[in-house]
Amino acid sequence: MKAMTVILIGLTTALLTMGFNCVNDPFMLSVNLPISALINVDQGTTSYNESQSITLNDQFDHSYADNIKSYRVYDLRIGTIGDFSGTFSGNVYIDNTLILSVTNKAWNSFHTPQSVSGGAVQQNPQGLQYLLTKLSQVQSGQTVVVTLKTTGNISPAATAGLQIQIELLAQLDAQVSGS
Amino acid sequence: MFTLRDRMSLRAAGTLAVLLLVATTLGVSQSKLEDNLKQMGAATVTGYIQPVTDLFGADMHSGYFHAADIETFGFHLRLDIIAMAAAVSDGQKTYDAPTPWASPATFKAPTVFGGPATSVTNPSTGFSYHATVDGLFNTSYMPLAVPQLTIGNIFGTQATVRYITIPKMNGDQIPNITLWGLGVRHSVSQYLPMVPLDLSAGIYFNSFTFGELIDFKGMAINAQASKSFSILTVYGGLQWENSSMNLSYTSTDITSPVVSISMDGANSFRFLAGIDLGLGPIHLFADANFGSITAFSGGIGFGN
Repeated sequence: MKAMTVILIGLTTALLTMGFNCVNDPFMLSVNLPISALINVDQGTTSYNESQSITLNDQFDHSYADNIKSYRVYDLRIGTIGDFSGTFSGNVYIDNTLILSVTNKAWNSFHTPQSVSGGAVQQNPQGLQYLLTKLSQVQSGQTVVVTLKTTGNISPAATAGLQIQIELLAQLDAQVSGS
Repeated sequence: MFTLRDRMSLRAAGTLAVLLLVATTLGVSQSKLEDNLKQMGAATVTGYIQPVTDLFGADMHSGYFHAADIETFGFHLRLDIIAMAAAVSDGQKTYDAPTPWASPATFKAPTVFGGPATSVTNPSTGFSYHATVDGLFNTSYMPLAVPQLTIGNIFGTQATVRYITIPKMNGDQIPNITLWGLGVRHSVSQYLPMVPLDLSAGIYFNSFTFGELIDFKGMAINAQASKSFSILTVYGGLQWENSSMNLSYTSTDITSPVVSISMDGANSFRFLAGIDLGLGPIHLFADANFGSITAFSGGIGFGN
């Protein structure tokens, strides 16, 4: 019985050691911080103008907030929802700083959100830099609220059910420790 | 003298050992794994966690038998504590992860067994994108351990049961984990007494769940052979198997928020060979398994 107990204790120790040592700790995790807005285009109108306030701190898991080491913006996109055979133009502002522009594009071609990397959407460098400044404030632990304003025109007059989707996509690199 | 009281004490100790292993290896890192996964959309999580499906499946389908000899009738009861280890190959440490852009479309990123997270830059915008997470496990083998109870014999047939359940722990940080397996094997030797080997055939089912996140299932059918030389038994077999992991959660990636995917394990066929040392009521065994995945199992058994 004593010998069996020793065997089991040894097995347990070996197994625990084998399992415990194989986990990387700490590790880095890139947490998604999506800044998004959905803009309604009223039926029968030829223009739109809508603002939304977004608290950046509420756009990601708070459990990572105290361990953010770096950040980045990896994409800026505009998309459309609803079937419409006309065209649209518009600007997106973050706290009154222009960040994105679309000029006279087919509405239905944006059903798959278009990235600034594709050329259909133009990015304003000052707006990007302003956004990065806001992410820096998030990293430092501040509560950051931004206003996304979208204005533009649509031709001909809008049909029912049209919406414009704004996506400013960022990552926060958090150091995660198990201890 | 090996008494019933000794058997019960050893069973409890063996179960505790397995519980500790599963909790430590999978449970403690389970909360990290869940945190990691929820930052990934469907397009990225498949590549990141596919090696777990492959290696876990290979582990789960190891250790089913350690001899092919099944008497036609008689009381047979044996408890095995089986440890498995599937080898992590270099090819399982990275995968082609999708970028968020049209070009470049993919980049090399670490899997759950890989190294530090990598990044990729879009040449037209200058934006960079980081692979979601570092590799989590720095190991050459993926370990697993299970208790296995074998009972028989009726008409040369035995049943095999595997079962562990670990309740939620640490304030729901570690979700409920449940593993169960059922198998049946039948003596073929009783129909072929002239064959100088013991022969059996078996079929096995396994299920493994991590809370609401991961649901793993597998099935194996094997042909078993063995030959005993005093206290030493040499055994081997051929096994067809399948395994799949279903993954369901809501991602924080708004471009791909709903994740509901099924991944198949890489191993579909294996050849195995091993030895069992019978020391009265105690057996020590070890075997090597060769297929798409190389895996090893070994352990200790109590009973006849």
